[in-house]
Amino acid sequence: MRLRRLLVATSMLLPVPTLGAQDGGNTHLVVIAGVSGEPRIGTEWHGMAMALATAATQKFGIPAARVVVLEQDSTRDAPRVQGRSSKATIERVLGGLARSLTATDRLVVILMAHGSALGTETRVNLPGPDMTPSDFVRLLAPATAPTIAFIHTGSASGEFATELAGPRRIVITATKSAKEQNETIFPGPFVRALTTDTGDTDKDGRVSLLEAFTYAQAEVEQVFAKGSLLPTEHPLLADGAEGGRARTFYLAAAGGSGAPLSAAAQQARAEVQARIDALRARRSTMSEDVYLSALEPLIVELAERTRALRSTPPAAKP
Amino acid sequence: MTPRIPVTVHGIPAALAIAITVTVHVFPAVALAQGARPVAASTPAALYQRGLHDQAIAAAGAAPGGEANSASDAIVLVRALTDVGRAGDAVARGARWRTNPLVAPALAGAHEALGQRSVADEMWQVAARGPDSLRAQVERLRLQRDGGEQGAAMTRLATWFTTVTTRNAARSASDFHAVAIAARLLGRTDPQRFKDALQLYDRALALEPARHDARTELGEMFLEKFNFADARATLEQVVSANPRHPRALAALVRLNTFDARAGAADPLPRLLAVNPSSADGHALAARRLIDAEQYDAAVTEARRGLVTDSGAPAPWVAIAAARWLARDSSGHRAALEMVHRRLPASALAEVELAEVSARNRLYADAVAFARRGVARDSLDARALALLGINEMRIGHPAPARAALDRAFALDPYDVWVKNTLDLLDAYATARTTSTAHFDIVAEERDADLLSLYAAPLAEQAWAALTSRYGFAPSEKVRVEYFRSHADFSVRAVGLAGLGALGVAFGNVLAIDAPPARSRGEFNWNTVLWHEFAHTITLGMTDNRVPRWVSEGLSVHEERRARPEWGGGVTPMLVAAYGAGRLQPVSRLNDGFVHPRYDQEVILSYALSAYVFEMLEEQKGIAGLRAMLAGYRAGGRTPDVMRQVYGVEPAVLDSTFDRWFRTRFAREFASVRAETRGGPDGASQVELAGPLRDALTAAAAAVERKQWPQAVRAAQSAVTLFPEHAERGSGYHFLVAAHGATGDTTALIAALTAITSRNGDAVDENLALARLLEARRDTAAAIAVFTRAVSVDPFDAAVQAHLADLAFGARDWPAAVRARRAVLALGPADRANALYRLAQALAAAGDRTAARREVLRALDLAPNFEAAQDLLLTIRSPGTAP
Repeated sequence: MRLRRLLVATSMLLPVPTLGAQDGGNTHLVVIAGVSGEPRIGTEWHGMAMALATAATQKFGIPAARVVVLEQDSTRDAPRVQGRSSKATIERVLGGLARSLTATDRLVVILMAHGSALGTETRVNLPGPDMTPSDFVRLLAPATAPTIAFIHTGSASGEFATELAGPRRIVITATKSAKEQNETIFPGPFVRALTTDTGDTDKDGRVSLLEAFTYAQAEVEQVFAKGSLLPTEHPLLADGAEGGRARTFYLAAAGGSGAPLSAAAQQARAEVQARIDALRARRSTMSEDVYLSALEPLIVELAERTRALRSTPPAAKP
Repeated sequence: MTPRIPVTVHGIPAALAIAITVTVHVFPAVALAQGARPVAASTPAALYQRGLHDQAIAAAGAAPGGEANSASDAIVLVRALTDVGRAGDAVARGARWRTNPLVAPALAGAHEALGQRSVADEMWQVAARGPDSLRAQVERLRLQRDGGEQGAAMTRLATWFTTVTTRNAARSASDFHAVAIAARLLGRTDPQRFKDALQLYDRALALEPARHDARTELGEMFLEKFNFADARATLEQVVSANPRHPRALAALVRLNTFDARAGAADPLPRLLAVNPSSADGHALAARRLIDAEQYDAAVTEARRGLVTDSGAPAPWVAIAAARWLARDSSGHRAALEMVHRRLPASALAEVELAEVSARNRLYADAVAFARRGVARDSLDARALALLGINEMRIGHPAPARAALDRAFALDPYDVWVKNTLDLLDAYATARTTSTAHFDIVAEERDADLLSLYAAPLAEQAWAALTSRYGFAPSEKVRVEYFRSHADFSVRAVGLAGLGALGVAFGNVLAIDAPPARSRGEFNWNTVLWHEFAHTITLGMTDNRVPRWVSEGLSVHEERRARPEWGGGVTPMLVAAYGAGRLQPVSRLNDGFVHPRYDQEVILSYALSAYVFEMLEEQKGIAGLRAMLAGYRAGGRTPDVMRQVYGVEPAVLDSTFDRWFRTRFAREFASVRAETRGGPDGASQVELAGPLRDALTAAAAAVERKQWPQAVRAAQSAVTLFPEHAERGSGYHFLVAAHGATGDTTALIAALTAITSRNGDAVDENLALARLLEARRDTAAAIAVFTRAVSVDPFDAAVQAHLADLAFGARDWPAAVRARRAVLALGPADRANALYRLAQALAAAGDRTAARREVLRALDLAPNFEAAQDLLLTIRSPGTAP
């Protein structure tokens, strides 16, 4: 809870360049589902992997050729599942991408797998040999320029946040350490947030990684609170900017699900948004009533501009 | 107090458990006498060690005149006679050994039992010349302290302790025992000494495992620190070797007042059988009579403990307490004076009086006594602890904290104090929601949600009960909710493990919040109603209302408030009553304060409520008001019943018996109790009779999926005992059968029967609501969903569903409340939750609140177009949102 508040609060203050798909370059998505251990989990992971792949192509506009799904059973839903999630395949896929990505490209790796810790070494459970955080560090080492989002939604994943962190890296883990080894709740709400509108908490039509993380974190907290259970997972986000980088990292293109806005329209809206941000920066100095009274005319202006812009079709590109 | 489990207190003395560990010694097959020399099993010493006092006395006093032939026999003779309450004989028959340093400690004990402190001191002077010289030095300083020279004695003792330990002067079991006693005494100003004491007792016992007095003192020390498990283990070691050890038995009686073992043999009769004039034993017996509100009998009982020593403090403290509760101020002062005369600088009496007052719900009196105790002895950590705990109970957190901090500094091993301070720290950020008559306090994360339900209910209870009883509390009532049951328990009694769900300290109520227990286990709304009824009855009587009356009226008021609240009649209640396992009305208080078996407390709650149902039938609420006025005036139950209802206790008993058996004639015909021996030797009551047979048949048919047979058997159970709607009732088997066969109408009927009788039944309410919704009976579905979420408001999915349903049905109040609940539950998509709330508020016509909430939504998500539209609509005059 404390982390989430910190992230939200600081994210408003830190100017971080937007990392949306509109920046140019290509987005690559690699979804890896490890050894499930039991059919129920395998089915759930497969469902989530397919949801991600579908959203990637149909919602986020990522070409199918840049979406890779690897699972323990590569025959399950071929050709959508392109291969077995073995160490060798992962090394081939990620290694290849890491060497070929350009500075404007982005790589998103989403891992659904159980983790374990042997002594001081954390492992991801895969068909065949397991992989360690340092294996992934080594694989991704050549990709220093592109932005990489690495999301491990499974148990004992906390060490990945430490080992994979770096410049232009966003690492999200379901647990804060290798000691949290229970089956995680995190992947369900995280994938749901990313692939549907439920995670779009700022209602801009897109879900940032920060939004998806925050949504999943809240859902996890609620599950434990509702059952009066001791939490066995504490999600982590490390992006070197206290959430600021994840706040502007989207899989979807700008504009959201509504009608696309012209550049001028976006500029007009951004101008009001800037004044709202300026007001927010002074928020701690005023009561809520005063703040809301000051906010209202800005919101009304924004709303009216939005209405006007929505009624005006975007200018055709020359 | 609202119970569900018999009220027992199980200490979890974490602090002490960390600091102190007990060494469990294995006794050798043959007990050892003082000095660790093996003795034959039939020697006087061996007989004494096994608690065979009469035989030991006969064997040791074989010389003419019943005297002893040897010093070792004299020790046994004097000790055994003292143990059985014949200290005068002990002194007389040991007289010729007065100058013998080996016998002198035993004689010192006999003189002290007679209240002859100065002679005891002389005997210890003699002992100082012998092998018990270290013990003698400590005991002399202890006597000096008890005589009022506390400062000087403790200063000398500290110096003595340093010298002895620095020089490693202790060699024998007696020596280590002596140093252990010194360490324990010094612990009052230097808590580290308690740890030393533990080690020293262990050293003494390692050298002489059969040194029962030392082991008993160790057990007492654990008990003082609320380490009940180690206290019991240690004391039971003593009584397993010597079942008639008076001091160990007395300590076990005290232990059982905190950590009762239902069904286990009561050590008090054994203690009084060993020593019929035991000052401790009669004081403890008197305390029980005080708890049963038999104050005159308590005084008589305590006086029996003054036969050997007319100035013995323990019986006089009991007399002072009984006199106080009987409002006999002069008798109270005179008794207190006797204690002060014997213990001039001690707070012992005030500590006991504070505890007795708190047990009788006189929390302000408890504060006053504890404060006087602190004034007498500012270093008495227990007096400070009681001051702090009771200040908290009457709603004075600041002085409570100050006293508790001082208590903790003096004794960090007092688990009550540590727990309570931890709780104060944890609840430093609790939030208060105020209504006209209540301050509702809850953890920050729960405050919005709980107050959403508790605030209107509390005001509803206020309106209903103040009107009925013609009494209103003079100040706001503070209701504290705890999402952790352990925290609630600490708040209530200082220790974890309390079985109750709520507790009333007058105008301060502490209650389990829904997350404190499993869903369906209790209904926190009924607990609030119950506890507030206590506020009324305690306030009307200046806290003089007997426990059974206050509890009975609280349950009675629950039942009056909602048909499904208050538990109602249950098969076990009828069976236990029919089997004579419940006290008659005239002794119903015993069912609460001295339960004889696990279920007696909870059954006494249910039964006492029916007493007041009957009395209200007779003279209405006016009779109940007059009864409470009688208690306020100092009347006891027989007098009050005589004055208000014109009946003697025996007549009231028989009248109620007839009324109750008539009222539930059908139910009495359907059940009977079977008593069987339980695993711990205590008898257990099990349900028998036609109802059990019908339920058994229904269960078997359900198991075999024979639905027609299941319905027949379940219907039979329902006919036999229509009010039985707890889990496992006939209705529940009907639900299973009708659910399986798809008979929705019958299923709805069965679920309706359960939910109209069982206020805890969340899942049944939800099932019923869904069926009603499927039948498009939306209004009924909303009502039942509302009832379900009022019991378990923490289910976000149900709250959201109810909000949608109510919104669609244009039930704006229900929609707004459910939307507020969703918001209070901390949804991941807060902007949307705020928007949906604003939408409901706007639909309900509250544009001001709607504007505020939609702005909050837009603050989080400025580009939230639906919210923008709602804001623009709200701002447009004459536009319907």
